[in-house]
Amino acid sequence: MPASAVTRPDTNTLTPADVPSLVELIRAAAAEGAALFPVGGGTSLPVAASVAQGRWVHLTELARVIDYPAADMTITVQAGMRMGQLREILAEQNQQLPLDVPQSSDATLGGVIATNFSGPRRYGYGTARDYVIGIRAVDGHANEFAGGGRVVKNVAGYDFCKLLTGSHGTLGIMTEVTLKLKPLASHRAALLVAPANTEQLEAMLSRLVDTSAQPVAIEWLTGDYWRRYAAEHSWPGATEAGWLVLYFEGLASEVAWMTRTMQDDWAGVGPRDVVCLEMSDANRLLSDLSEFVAVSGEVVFKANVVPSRTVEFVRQIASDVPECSIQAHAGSGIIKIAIPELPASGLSGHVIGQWQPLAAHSGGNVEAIKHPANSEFTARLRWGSPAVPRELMQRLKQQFDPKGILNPGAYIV
Amino acid sequence: MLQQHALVHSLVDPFVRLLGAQRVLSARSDLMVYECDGYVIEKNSPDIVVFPETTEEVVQVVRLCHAAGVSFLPRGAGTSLAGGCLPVGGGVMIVLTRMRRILEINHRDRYAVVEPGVVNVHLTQALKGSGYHYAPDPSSQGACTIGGNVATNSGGPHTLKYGVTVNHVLGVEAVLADGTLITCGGPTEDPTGFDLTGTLVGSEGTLAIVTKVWVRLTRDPQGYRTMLGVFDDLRDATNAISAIIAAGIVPAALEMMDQGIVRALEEAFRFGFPLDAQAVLLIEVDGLEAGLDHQRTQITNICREHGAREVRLAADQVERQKLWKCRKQAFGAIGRLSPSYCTQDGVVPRTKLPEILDQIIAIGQKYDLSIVNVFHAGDGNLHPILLFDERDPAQVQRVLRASEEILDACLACGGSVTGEHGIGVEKISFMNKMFQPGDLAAMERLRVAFNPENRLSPHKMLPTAGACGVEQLHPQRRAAL
Repeated sequence: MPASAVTRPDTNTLTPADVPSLVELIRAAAAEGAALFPVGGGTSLPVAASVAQGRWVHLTELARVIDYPAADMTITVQAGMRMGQLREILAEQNQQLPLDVPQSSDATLGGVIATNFSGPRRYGYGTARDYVIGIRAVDGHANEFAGGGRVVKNVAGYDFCKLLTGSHGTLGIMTEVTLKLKPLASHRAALLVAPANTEQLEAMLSRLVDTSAQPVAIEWLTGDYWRRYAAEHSWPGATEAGWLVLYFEGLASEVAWMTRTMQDDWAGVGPRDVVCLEMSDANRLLSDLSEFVAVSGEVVFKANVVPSRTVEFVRQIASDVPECSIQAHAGSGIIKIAIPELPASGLSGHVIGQWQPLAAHSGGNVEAIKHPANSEFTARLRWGSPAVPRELMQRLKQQFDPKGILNPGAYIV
Repeated sequence: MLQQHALVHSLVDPFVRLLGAQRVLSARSDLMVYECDGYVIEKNSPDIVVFPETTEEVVQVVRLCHAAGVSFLPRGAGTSLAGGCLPVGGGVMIVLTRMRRILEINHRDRYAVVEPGVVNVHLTQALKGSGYHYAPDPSSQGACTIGGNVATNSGGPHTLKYGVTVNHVLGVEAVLADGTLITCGGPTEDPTGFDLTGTLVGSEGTLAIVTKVWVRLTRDPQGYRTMLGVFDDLRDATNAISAIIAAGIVPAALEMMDQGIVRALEEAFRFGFPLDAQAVLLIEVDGLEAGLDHQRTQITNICREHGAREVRLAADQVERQKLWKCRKQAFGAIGRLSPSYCTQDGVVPRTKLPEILDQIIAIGQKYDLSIVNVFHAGDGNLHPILLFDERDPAQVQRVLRASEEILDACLACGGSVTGEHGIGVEKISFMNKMFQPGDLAAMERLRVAFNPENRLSPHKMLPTAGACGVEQLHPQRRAAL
């Protein structure tokens, strides 16, 4: 049941056709102190909507390619461009922006950067902050500003690319982005295995730290959603330790060497049947892994812990809410927890009482990245405890948006 | 300004009580070492230099400065090249080189925690044999500190594949201008909230003083192929660079040296570089052995198709290390060419390299200056080196004018005036050229949120920060204020 992008049946929405119109509407909103909520493809809206106040500003009209000097391996595009369209444009030049996002025909680049969304290949390729080299935005003063530039190496001025990535549109509404690109890999393959138990899984994950075979994704999958998926795709049967998927990219010789080496390496640890998926099968699996957040449940939380605590953390969650399904980007300690339906009660107790403190124990946090639009999530349940000083975030907010009109409520700044 | 100097000196006693007399310098002769960094055109002494050894001492020092209303700035090893730790107007200099402990190396979770004074190469040495390394490797890595690398978002030859400092910093602990201690990020990825870690990296000490850094460790590559491409024509070499990038190959490093620098290096190191070549490319691919020879063949073919006379492969690890030693010590060899030199740091889109090198040659001829080039070609990051004699004021003026023209040419190509050295005081006057008033207003707002009274590293980076970007015709005038 793929979730569709949410739109607001409300006449009180704004769709600026160009950047000057956006500047004007922010100026008007600032004058009357009216809140604005920037929207890309609307794919993150079920959660954002519950905190969004005021008028929605749709950015999807700002979707032009400004400059694509392919031989420089950079592209400058407007922030409202859909991720799927961007992927096609880049693929024609055998290039890619290696961020895996669900609903890419709807999701926009600006939305992905504003929410700092990332998927399976973050282990090998990094996240949005590693690819944004130039950025333009309009702040709450209706001041259009830019940071970075169009070259891959640049240390002139403060780095607004970092400040705005993951800022949920609270400091400025993004209009244009310059990206550093990667070549598309010529070959890919995935290894799929069902560990006998979580001890064996932990041993396999530990060994990955020292193996020369470098996967670009290390995914650990458990729960009902993946059990159903496994049955449909004839995966080997699993225990409570679920499935471990490694994804490899590179030259044909490299991919062949890595999958062989990995299987030899695992022989010592003793997992049963290792399945190797090549090319189009591997592509399909990556695409399905990328859709998890959109299709796996009504409520999704994201936790970040140090990678070595992943298994322990997931065990706690699975015992608290047995109906949840989990996709852990295990190499990075990023865990996505999907709950099929919002429970009538008890969720806050688990998340705030157990999960957030457990994550905090290794310097992490648990935040909601999806929940039904009509549900009342408290700020604490939604955002957890930010890992940066709140006072400083508030001072930044005050400087860039003194009237508090840009996505008020996000991060509680 | 006299008032400020008297005010600062009132802090000597409290500093001595806090740190002991050994860790407080205020005698004029002791302070001279601290009057500049690697940017020597402007100099000025701080009024006091202090050497804290703990975060708590940094907090106390900053609180004293804040309470007294005096300006202060941090300093690492002083290898920066844009005057980032030049104490403009004097004040208190907080030298962090005694905070040099590696606090933790976590192999399983691939991070290390270090104090800001840890020398870059010391972390690399501590990791030797672990299968991991800290990827940013600026040429000054034998001396520069990780705190300084964080302040300037340092690069180095291997950034082409591995990225710059900010791509390897997970979190920082830092002291704000009023003495508040903050922590942003830590050992986990994706901390909730604004990316203040990413914002602090590269802020050149104008937002906070970093006292602890969580860095990501990178897996050592299984193997290397290090090649020397020898070209009889400079333009052929730059076209080969563009072709390698456009072919979708991501070398670990792709460096270019022109004839002038090759001759100096050969004289210094006797590596066996061809003296008659117009350009030499140092190209390194790394990664899995299974893919290296394929990439080597591709690169060799591209170089040959673009007129390379010869493509030589480093025979073994010893030869590879010697090649890199030559490259990283290139600046040391320049002493053989002239008494003084000025290194520029511009960036252009990689496909504009042939165009910009032609312009640099023309600018050199126009100002009657020798300019040699050794630079990170794969990133489009140029380091033209202008040779001169600083005893001749006319030459100094020509160097300043030629530098400005080179950087203007980089901007005209759609590039940047600094790829890795920073703005510091050297390039403040370019900020108005590179950025629009709205951009600078936003930068000022960011600075105010962290450092509202502008006492931390004043007169740096932003033209609004007090240094008005006057023409650099009178060295020392601005620094002394």
